[in-house]
Amino acid sequence: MTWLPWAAATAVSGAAPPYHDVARMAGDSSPRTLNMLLVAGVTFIIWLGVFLYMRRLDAKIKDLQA
Amino acid sequence: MAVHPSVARAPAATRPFGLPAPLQWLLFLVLSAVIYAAFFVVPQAIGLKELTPILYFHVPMAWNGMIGLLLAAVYSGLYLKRRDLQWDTKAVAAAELGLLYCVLATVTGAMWARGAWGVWWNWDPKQSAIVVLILLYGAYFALRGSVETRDSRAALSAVYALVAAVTVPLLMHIIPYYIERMGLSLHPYTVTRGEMDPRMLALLLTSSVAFLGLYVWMFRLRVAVGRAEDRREEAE
Repeated sequence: MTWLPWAAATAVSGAAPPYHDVARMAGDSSPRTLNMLLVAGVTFIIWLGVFLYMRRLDAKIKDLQA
Repeated sequence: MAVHPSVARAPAATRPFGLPAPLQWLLFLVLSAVIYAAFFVVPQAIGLKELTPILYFHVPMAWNGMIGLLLAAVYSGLYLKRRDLQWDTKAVAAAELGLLYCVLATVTGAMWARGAWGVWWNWDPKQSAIVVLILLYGAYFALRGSVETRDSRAALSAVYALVAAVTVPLLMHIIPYYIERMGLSLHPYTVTRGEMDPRMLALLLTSSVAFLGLYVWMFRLRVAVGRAEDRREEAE
């Protein structure tokens, strides 16, 4: 929801989108939360699953072509 | 393991293959490092905070999806020029994976929108444009499915892919970008404007290259399967 006021202000004023300064990737040193740890774990597990599946598929096709 | 006759007949010179094992492991390490860095190393963006890591998956998907769809047009052009079905097989593989990446970019974009805008979907110009693009390429596969003859299917879909490719940069970037400049879209263009922290940009580019590597791996496997299907079709 935080983006909506910026977009609304832009639409009304016609100025450059005001969230530019806010969204400028200057960096934020907020501590990482437990949620982030969990999401990182889930992301890694998904990637591991994709990788292992791809390896299996790769080996199977190479086998078929041998 | 039983070898399918159509695959066993593949001439050695045209045998496609996946990715060499060392490159597979390199890809695994790089993408794992990207996940770790995205969540725990690179600074979060002000205003986005814990939503920031989606950036490193959403944007590479969109970029590589665009590359895939444009690659399909290149292969389609090569097919029309040389009339060799191997280019059609590559075109369809490139389009399938390009579409897959576009769908994943849309899904990750909706997740991001849920966190940043409060809704999964609000028909932002960027979201609307990607839906149009997905429908356009859905029609490409519908067209392929509706033509029986292999050569006619290849020729018709090649022409379609070439025409559809014109819309890819327009729908994925140019039109939504200018709509955003008018203040009518919420989608940010931080990379385009060169406003990103160099550490974040470095990770974004690394992630993009890694996802491109994954694309190449999947592409080569898909082409191998496509050629086997072609040979079976010829045999029938």
